[in-house]
Amino acid sequence: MGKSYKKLLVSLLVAVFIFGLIGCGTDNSSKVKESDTSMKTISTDENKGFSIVDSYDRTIKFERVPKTIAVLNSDIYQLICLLGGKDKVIGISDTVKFPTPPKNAEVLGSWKDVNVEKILEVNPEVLFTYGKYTKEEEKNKLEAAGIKVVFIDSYKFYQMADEVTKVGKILGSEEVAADFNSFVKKYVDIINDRIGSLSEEEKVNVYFEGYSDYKTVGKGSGGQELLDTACVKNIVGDRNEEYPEVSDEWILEKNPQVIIKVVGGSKNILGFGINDSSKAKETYNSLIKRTGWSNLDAVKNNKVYILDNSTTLSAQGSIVGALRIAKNCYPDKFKDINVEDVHKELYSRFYGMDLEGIFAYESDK
Amino acid sequence: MFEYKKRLKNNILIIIFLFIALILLSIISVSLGASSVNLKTVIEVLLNKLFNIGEISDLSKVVILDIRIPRVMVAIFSGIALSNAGLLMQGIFQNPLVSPYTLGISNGASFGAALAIVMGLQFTFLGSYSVPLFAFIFAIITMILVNFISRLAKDPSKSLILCGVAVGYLFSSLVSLLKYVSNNNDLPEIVFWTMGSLSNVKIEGTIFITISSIISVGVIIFNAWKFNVITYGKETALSLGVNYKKISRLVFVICTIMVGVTVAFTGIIGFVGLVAPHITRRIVGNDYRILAPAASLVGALLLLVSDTIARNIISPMELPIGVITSIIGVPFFIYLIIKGK
Repeated sequence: MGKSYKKLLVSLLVAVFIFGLIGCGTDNSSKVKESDTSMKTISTDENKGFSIVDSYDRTIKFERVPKTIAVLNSDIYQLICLLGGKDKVIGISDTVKFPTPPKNAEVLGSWKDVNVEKILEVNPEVLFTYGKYTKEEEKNKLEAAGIKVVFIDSYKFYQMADEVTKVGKILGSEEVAADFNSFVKKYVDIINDRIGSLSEEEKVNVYFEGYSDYKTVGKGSGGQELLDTACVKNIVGDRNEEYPEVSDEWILEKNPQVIIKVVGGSKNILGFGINDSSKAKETYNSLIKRTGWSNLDAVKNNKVYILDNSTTLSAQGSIVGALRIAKNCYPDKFKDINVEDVHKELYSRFYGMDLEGIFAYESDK
Repeated sequence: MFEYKKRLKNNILIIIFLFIALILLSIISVSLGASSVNLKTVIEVLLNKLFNIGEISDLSKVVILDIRIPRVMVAIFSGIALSNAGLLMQGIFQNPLVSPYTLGISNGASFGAALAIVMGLQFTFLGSYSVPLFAFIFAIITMILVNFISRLAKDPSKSLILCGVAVGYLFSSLVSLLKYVSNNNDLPEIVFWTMGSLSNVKIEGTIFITISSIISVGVIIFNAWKFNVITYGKETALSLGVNYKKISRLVFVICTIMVGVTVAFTGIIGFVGLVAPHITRRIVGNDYRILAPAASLVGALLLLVSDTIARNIISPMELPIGVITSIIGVPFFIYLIIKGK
């Protein structure tokens, strides 16, 4: 009895130790002031049937605008909030943290793992999730129970307007969706008007690095679309791999004029609620201290930028990232644009929030 | 006696041959890479640095002196460390299938590294040393744990491998758990680390790996005859006056340092520790005085070939070195199984 009790205690301690360590990241979402977002205009006749085609070309028919939603994809959750559907959310994944989810929303599991049993128990009318991580049989079981399963990936710039429109239609918020799309289009047009006609030779050469060292973006990736939107030239743009890992000496030879490093996740380097740039400064310093990087034009000219992922690869924030990259690369063309103001406008207008946090870091020289 | 001298002469010739092969391969490896720096540039840079002849660009200097030469050194000394660790373990446990993997060291180190990544320790005072430091600490914890548990058993030497396998599985499961609960930003970092790479080893790592492997190989050669005796079994060793317990502990300490330091900086690199000692035994026999230097050269060659392929085959992208060592190592391993060697 004594031995088995000890064993149980040790097992519990190990579990608590591991989960304690993992859960030690700070949740910054609570630091952001929020106001009631449920006041958004609902434009669609809620009882009228309609259909949409999701990111995987699947046609999904709705008899009416759904009243309850579950969402595993944190970007789509933010989009749902932007479109005024937050109050309908009754189920979320463990990574859905910002804006603060409704109190009655149940955690359904991991973003990459569809927990069919839990979802069936919560029984939302519609489930938004990643198509890539959902097995066919899981989808079939959910659909057999009458749950509409919608695959929206929401990380590619060119698909964004279309995806915003689709989610807006599902939520009955087509006017808000159209309003948001025109907000984005306004700044895309500004970028195109000012630097869209640059030839390939005139474009600034950029090295864009994701979360892992030397892991960059290539054709077909969300990052490449962001760079194309900002009218800059990716030094690995002619490669077919989406996320290639490149050699250090190759970057030295390519000698990019601008370097962009994207950070995010649990490390709290930049983002919502972050008011201390020390981690970003550390990240910046470790970048410019890499072997041979002091010889790069980007480092010599203080053209190295750390950007938060919420402004680079998310449906609602990437226009801010595109503007920032364009301004960093062609500062003379965007003297009148204050990217921080655009970012604040996006949050105050569409989320009803005061934006607090640091979203970019550059050399103070 | 004449036969022994002839065999010794042959083995020395083999070692000289392997050494020349390593020098040639090192020159080839330094001449190949993702940038346009080639053999001609290598010669120009070396002439400039050694005799102050001619002009060289900053790019050539950095690529050759700061990137390629340190990387070739990491490949050589990591190969030496992993190969000798495998050699000692196979000898002392009298089991041809033992390698740093078998005793769970690599899995323990993986857990340490993954823990440091998930906890975001690179932003504490430990900075970029947090991942190698945690990997090293957990490699040592694993070794101590395996040793301690096996001593509780009736026959410690036999149960050591089983304990190593069990503890290795435990850490492997914990790494899977960390992967599962990690977010999509930490996950690629963990996966990348567990696949092994020489690309991110900094100069401090190169120095640590070099020093630890040179000292360890020195200790092995110095104690070579004791290892020779020990491979005949505990009883024979004791009857010839060799302290089996003391030598086992020495093996344990050397292996932990060599594997712990190497894996901490390079991540998991498979099969070198298993295959290199087998190849060497087939070539030079079982005398540790010859085996240790020969296994060092074979391990170094194997890892250097693998790394040169890994960083050039799809240049400017790189393949994880663990993938290449396994692709080269597995067919040979299967051959050994079939031949019953």
